[in-house]
Amino acid sequence: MKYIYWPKVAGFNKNDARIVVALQAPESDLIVISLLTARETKLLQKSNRFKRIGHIDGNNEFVSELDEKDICIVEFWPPKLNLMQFYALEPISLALPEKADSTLLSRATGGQPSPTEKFQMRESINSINLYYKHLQSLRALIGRAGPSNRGIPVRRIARALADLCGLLPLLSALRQALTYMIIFIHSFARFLSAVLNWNPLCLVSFSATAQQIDLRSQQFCYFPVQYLRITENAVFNRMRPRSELSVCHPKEKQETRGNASAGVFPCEYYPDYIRFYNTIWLIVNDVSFGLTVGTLLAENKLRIAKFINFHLTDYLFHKVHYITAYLGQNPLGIKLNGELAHFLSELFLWIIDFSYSTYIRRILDVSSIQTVISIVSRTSCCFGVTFALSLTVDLMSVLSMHISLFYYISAKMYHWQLHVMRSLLYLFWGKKRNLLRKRVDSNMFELDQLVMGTLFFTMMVFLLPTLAVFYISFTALRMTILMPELLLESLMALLNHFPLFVLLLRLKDPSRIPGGVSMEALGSKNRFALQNNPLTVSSMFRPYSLLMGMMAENYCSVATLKQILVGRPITIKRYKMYQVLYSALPKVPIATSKLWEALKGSRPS
Amino acid sequence: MTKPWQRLLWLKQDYPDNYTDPDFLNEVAKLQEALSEPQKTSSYAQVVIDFSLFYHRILNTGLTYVAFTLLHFYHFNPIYFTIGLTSFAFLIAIIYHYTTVQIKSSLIIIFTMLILSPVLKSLSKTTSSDSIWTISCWLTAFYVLSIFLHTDSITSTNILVANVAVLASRLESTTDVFCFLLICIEINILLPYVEQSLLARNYNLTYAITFCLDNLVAYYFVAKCLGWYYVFIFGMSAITFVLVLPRYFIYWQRNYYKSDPYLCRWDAKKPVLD
Repeated sequence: MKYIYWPKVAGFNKNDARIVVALQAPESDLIVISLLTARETKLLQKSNRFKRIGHIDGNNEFVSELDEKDICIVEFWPPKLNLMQFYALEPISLALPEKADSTLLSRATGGQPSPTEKFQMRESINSINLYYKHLQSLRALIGRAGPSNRGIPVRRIARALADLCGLLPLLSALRQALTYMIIFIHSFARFLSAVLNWNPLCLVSFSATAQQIDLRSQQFCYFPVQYLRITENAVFNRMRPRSELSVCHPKEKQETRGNASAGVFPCEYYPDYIRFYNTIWLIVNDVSFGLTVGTLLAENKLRIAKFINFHLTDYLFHKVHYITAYLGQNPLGIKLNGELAHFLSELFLWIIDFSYSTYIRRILDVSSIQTVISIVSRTSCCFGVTFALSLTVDLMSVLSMHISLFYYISAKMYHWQLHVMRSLLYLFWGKKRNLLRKRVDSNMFELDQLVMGTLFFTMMVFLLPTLAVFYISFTALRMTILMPELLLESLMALLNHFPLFVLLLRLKDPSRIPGGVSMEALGSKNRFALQNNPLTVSSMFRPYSLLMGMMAENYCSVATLKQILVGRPITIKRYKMYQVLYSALPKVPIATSKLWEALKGSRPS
Repeated sequence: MTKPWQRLLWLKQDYPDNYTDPDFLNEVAKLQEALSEPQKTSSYAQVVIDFSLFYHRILNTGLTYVAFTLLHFYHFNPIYFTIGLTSFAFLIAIIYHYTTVQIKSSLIIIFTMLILSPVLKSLSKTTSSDSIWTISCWLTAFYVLSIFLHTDSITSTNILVANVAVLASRLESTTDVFCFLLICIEINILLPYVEQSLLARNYNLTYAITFCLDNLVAYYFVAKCLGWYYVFIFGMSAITFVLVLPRYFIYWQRNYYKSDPYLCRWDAKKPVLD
């Protein structure tokens, strides 16, 4: 079976052009480039790339002149590379390729064949993507100079204008200044990110604001790299992984430039383009949302402050105080151990009173809330609504610190108690854990060991309900505090990583975001149409579905319930959660020196 | 390979109805020999002794409640009694074992109990008395069961201590709790130990005296607290347990129990209609 790819633009516009010429690339199927006249075909005798494969007969039917009789024609619309259209066998990755290989994402996408795997279809698709280039070179061969450069490059116009006005020195000075500015911003952002990720403290895992700042600085670090990558393909297309910009040797550079015309496909870098503009759009969006929200906050400052003051004081102080005091007095008629319940209740009440008088009352004061709101609204106006949200989240976790503290204290006690009880239960049945063999063995204990162990065990059994009641109530409190925080963080994640640009491309020009190809059978025998399947919406939102899955796994699953029952503390694993969403950023930002060299190297010679 | 034949009628097996197992043919001579002999039974006296040993343990458990009732309802001052009992226990230990008593172990137990007795007293104070009685009753039942099933297991000791700890919360003062704990451990752990060693050394007379003393104390107490009516009931049940139940046991052994291994394997299952 021989496949012949037939462009739909190769029409029968000229009556005398009836000879079908196809591209014969190694390891690829035949791709029809154009219909030529007999005279033009003669000029092609020398070329081994282009080959005559047949002609069009009087009924406008294709007659094959190939040895093989069993042929199959696949029609396609040639992709316009200048409009960034292309075909791809696998869905293009919205995450960075090296990130997409990481465990989480690849587990979600399933077993994809690796893109390095070679087979005929892939080579053919690569040739199809370069259809217009091949057409151009064919026309050059036969001397029918086509309109090769329809538009004059903007840069050339600019330079011509600059030359004209004698503005070239000024332009280069501007450029120099821009380079220095980029380097400065880059090194600053890199420093900031490094400080926030500094290991023993790792602010990023504690605070949402730190996380947000880190995300923005990493994005700023990556912008120059991305920009260079999408504008100056030829220089950077050899670079892997994408987080590194190794500076090419001159010889290698030459070679790269030489190959770029035919061997390297420009479409390989279109995903970079999509990622770059997606990030920029999101930032702009974020700031514009931020302006709206900030203004709203600033206008209704007093009302919001009063509302927050009343409700938060009620929930964070009065209600918690009431619950804790209630737990100390046989709640719901459950007979707890009086002394222990009293002690715990007193302890927690003391912490509540202390934290309320030291900071909660001061923060929740109407005037200080107004200050906080004005800070948040200004941040929102300047940096975007995500910063306002992250500040809110952090403020909430600071204000609910005493509840987290109760939770950790009671979880720890409960866990210890369960642990001790398990060991003593072994003793109760005359068993003992054998650490060396990791199993439980029978053991004859001495009488004193037995009596002591049993006395302690009995004590623990009677104390357990008391601790469990405290633990359960504080776990419930902590969960209710966590819920709004999680909601806000999900909103932040959505604002930070929404695939806006891709969604718009899906509406505007689906062939720019190929998600694979499909063949559709046409009416007659052995005729197919090659079609582009755009990326599905679900695959665009895959990071979110992963994130939601992780959240569900973290907060409402049987495993979590087990953890709660055992008394293991449940924390927000923020860093782990956002790993999925950081998929469009390299793991380590590029070194400033490398960027400097790259910027210098990218100057037009 | 087919499954081995089993002597069970209700199983569907791949064997004909008149199948005869080769093992049966090999062992049929011995089986007839076993059938011709009369069924062996245990001697009545031995069974009575075994039953009374078990009865003795139950009686010891009952003494726990005697001590508890004395402390809880009659506000008996336990200090002198405890001192006396403990010294007596030490004396017996020294006299009968001719060894140095493990001072360290006893001291550890005593001090642990001293430290924990206030905690134990407050542990289930808020729990209502009804619940305590119920829990204690169940624990006692489990204790008797654990003695019955395996006497040398430490589970029984543990259940006993748990029971005592539960009961301790009903007592008035910390001293009472401590004394009660000590008395219970002496009565229920040390006393049976001493009694068993008496039996092992064939001091049968001494053992009989202890047995009678135990009975005397228990029934005197029941008579004092509940009246002679209850003494009669308890006594009659005890006598039934010790003297009548062994008869029934021997009857069961004679008629239903197949002690011979060949009989066990090949006897014809006769329905018992009476």
